[in-house]
Amino acid sequence: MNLPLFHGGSVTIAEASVGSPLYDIAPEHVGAIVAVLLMPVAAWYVRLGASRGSRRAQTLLAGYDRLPTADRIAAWLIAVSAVVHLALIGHGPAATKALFLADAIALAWVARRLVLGRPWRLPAVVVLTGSVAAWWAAAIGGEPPDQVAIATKLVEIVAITLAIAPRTPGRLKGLASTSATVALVFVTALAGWIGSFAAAAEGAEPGQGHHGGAAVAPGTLLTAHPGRDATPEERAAADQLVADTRRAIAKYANPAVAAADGYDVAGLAGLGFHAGNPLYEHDGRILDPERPETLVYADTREGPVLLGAMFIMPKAHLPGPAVGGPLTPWHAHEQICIGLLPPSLTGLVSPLGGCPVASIAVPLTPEMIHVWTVPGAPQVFGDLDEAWLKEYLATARG
Amino acid sequence: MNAVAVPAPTSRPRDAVEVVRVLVLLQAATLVVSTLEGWIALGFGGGVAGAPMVLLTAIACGLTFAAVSGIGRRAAWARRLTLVGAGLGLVVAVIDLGLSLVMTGQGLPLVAILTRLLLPVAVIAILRDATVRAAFRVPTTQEVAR
Repeated sequence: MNLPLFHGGSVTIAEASVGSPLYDIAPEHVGAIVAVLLMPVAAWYVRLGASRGSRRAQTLLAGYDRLPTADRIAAWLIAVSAVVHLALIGHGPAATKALFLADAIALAWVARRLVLGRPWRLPAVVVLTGSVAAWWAAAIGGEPPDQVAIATKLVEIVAITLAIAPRTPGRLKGLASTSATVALVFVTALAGWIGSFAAAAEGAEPGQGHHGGAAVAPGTLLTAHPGRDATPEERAAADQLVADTRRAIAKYANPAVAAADGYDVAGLAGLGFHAGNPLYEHDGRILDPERPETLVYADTREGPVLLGAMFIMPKAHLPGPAVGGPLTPWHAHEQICIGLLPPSLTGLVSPLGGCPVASIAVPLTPEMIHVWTVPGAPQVFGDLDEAWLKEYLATARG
Repeated sequence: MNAVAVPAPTSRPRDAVEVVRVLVLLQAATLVVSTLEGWIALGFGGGVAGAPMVLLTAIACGLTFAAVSGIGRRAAWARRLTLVGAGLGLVVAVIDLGLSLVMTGQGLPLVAILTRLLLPVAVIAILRDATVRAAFRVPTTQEVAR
């Protein structure tokens, strides 16, 4: 696909982008969802078997029909977890397959005990907690979590909560049960974050940030790398973009000048303050060095330091022009939380699916690219190495 | 109205109300996580502008835990509070779903579908059931007197 530039000519744009596995379903986990969706068919088959005189089906059905509502729900949730683990035994190394199979068998055994009216709470807590803890270990060990994994852990946590719910009233018992559930949910979310960022950091070179890991960091959507080196023309175009941007934004070293041109520098603070200019965001100009949509400053004791500019496409799904080919990677952000009181970034969508109250989840932002004009920057596009920046501000700026 | 004696419970029934209590407890736990995530995000570029949302999340979290406790005691106010909270959460989730469909052509992530759509729908459906509603019935003055 080609896209015209504001100053004439056209460039090739990237066609695909890659996001964090945290918000996706791993292809090898799709079978687990299909298997869960087929569970009502299995239940219908048991009823059919019972009506046709199968003793085993009749025993299961009679036991299930005797259960109170909460125990029926617990049986279904444990069965869901068993089915998910059974559906996953075709993937991963042999040890993982064996663990999944053992987990599926143990969970099915617990569900059967529950349905047959045998003591089930303690076995359920042991097996389910073991399953949840094993996933924590895998995630914290760097295996990127996906939506099926987190959903399964939440199903297991609800089943655990039903199993440990006090059978008699009592404040202490209730408090212990509630605390256990909160702790399980909290550590599951924490493991989700740690696993996602650990997978993104794995193999990343210093300064590559969210552009360099084995997986993409949560909240970031990267354009696919073309898988080739830049051509001489692309190198020249990238150098030209940096030179033009450096010359054009030099006047904004003074934030007052930037403010006069419409940049929102109010509250300038931190090492990467982004001052946007609403006037330039929808002016019909793309990648115009004279009118960058955002300026980036670092606040220091000696005053603000202009670090560079960030260009933003006018709307989501419009790929940024790859003027420098693989040298100029654009990125977008996905699953970010925007607060409404007042409008502000309130974080990333949680592994548990939510945002803070009075926030909405924005699934996708327009694409953007940083151009770092600060002298000696090790990267002119992408992420600026924070360690380098701190050293630069401490030494070069006195 | 005929007053019916309500014996003091010696064991918690494993009924639909218990299921709702557990589901609302899960919501409360996710709000604990949301509060912490929002608080951490304030230090990662969110700035103080995000503070009201974090405060509101903390308040919602406290109210949800109160509702969990009230549901356990079959308090009528807890049923109403839970219905309001689940309804509001559902409205925001539907807005997010619409945004996602318009902007990406895809629905919400699987976990969000479970925790933000199916969970509140299940809570509302159970709490509006006539049998469950009766379990939250405010006792008559005669019952209270006994």
